[in-house]
Amino acid sequence: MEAFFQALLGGLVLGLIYVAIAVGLTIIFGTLRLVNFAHGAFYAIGAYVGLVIAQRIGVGWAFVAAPIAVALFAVLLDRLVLRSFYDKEPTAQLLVTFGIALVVEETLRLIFGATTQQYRMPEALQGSVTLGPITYPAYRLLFAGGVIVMLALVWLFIERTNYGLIVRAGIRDRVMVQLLGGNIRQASTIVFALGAAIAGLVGAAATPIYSIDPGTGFAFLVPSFVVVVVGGLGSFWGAVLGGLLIGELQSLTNLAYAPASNVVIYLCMALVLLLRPQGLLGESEVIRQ
Amino acid sequence: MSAPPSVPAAVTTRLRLDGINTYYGDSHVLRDVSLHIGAGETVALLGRNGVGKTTTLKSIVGWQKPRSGSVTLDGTELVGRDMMSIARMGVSLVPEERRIFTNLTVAENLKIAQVTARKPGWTLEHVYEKFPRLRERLTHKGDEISGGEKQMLAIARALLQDVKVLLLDEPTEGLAPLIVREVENVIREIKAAGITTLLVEQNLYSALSVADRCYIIDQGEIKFEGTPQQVRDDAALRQRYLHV
Repeated sequence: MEAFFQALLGGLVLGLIYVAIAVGLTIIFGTLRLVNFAHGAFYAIGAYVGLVIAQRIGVGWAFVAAPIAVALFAVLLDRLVLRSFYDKEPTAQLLVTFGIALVVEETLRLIFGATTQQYRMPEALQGSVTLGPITYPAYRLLFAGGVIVMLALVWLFIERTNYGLIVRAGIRDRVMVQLLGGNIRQASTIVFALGAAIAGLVGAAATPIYSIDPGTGFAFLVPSFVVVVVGGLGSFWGAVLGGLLIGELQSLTNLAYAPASNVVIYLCMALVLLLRPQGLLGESEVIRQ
Repeated sequence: MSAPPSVPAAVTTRLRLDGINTYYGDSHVLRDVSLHIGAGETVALLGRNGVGKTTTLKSIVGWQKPRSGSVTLDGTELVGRDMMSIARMGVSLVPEERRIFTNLTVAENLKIAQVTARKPGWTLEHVYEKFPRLRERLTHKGDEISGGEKQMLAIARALLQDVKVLLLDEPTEGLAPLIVREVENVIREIKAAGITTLLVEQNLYSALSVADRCYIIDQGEIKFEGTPQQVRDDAALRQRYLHV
């Protein structure tokens, strides 16, 4: 029973990482219609920036530097490369973002080598917490709480601010936003930077839990795309539901029969696509240009 | 083209199109379209389906870029500017399909118009006074309201901004006769408020009832400029270009 609860909490932590990456993916897709295969690279860059800063300056600064560095990288990428692909067909977007992801991965390999790396948390956060029948690492619980707070802030930004209103309107109809004088480009840049910053922050914060290597970006990107498809493209709550579902499914299957833990998420995606092609919380309506 | 009843000398030209040529790919849709609207005028652009009415509006707001020609607002060139800049200069399009944000509530649809406005236009109270049904539907999503309410919302959204020229594309399309009359009354109120309006309509008699002047477009060319009375009186003209 203890192992089951351990797996349940492990699934929650893993699921929250997926949620954080998938929320970025889904709001970027919703607003920009961009299928961003480079999103995993944001996670990886954040993880490595976090690693370097945590080892040289301190863990606290890692959590500040990683999202800022990744957001700046994302803005540059958006301005210099991706902007000209927004109106292109998905195949072109897929190829260019996939190419960027490969360039990032190989650059990280060149700088940091191919070995897995991890940084240790400060002593104060290395303890465990007893929760009924199980003891669980305190940092993992803190991480889960932090991600939940961050997602709540992102939700408040989208639902309660004027920029969020433009973003939500842009998800439905980019042309009409512009016909009303809305600066959809600026809103898109902010959304792109925000999505990237979330991935970067989670990458930095998750490194003490999951060690990193240059291929980390893809390792988290693929399940996160599954999450987006399962939850529904463009849906915030779909990403949350899908992420938690996939995280738990993977973790519990790992407990029951480890070799099936990766297969099961694709089976889940196939099942959802068969029964509800728009995803669990997605809309079937065709979104405007 | 018939002899135009020009804008009275005292009325300054607010919007002017000079020799606009617009293409969709290789298809030449607008051919040297020229028209002008005086400040405070309501002008109707009439024509059958697919003759270039909507493309004319799209060319004005920068949605479809003309390859040649000029569009000026109070003498300032609009061609080459993007949709956002043109909207912020005071040209507001209420598009054919209304394009309400169906994932937002009525209140949020109104709010976004206020948020994106460079300068405020009507107040919310004024909007609710003119469109009382919107006040009753504030918490409804954009896809939960009727076609007439969507049209009112689309017009209200435009009026919440500082509109210099209002472009209405088929505002009565698909509406029940009773609602069509309501929309006509709204257009009359807009006219009474002194807002310059270019009205694109297939519903001929609805357009003639509110317009000061009208143009007829056919095959992408302006074929007639005159008064509503001239159109009413000229059966051959109506038959040739409007099939009514």
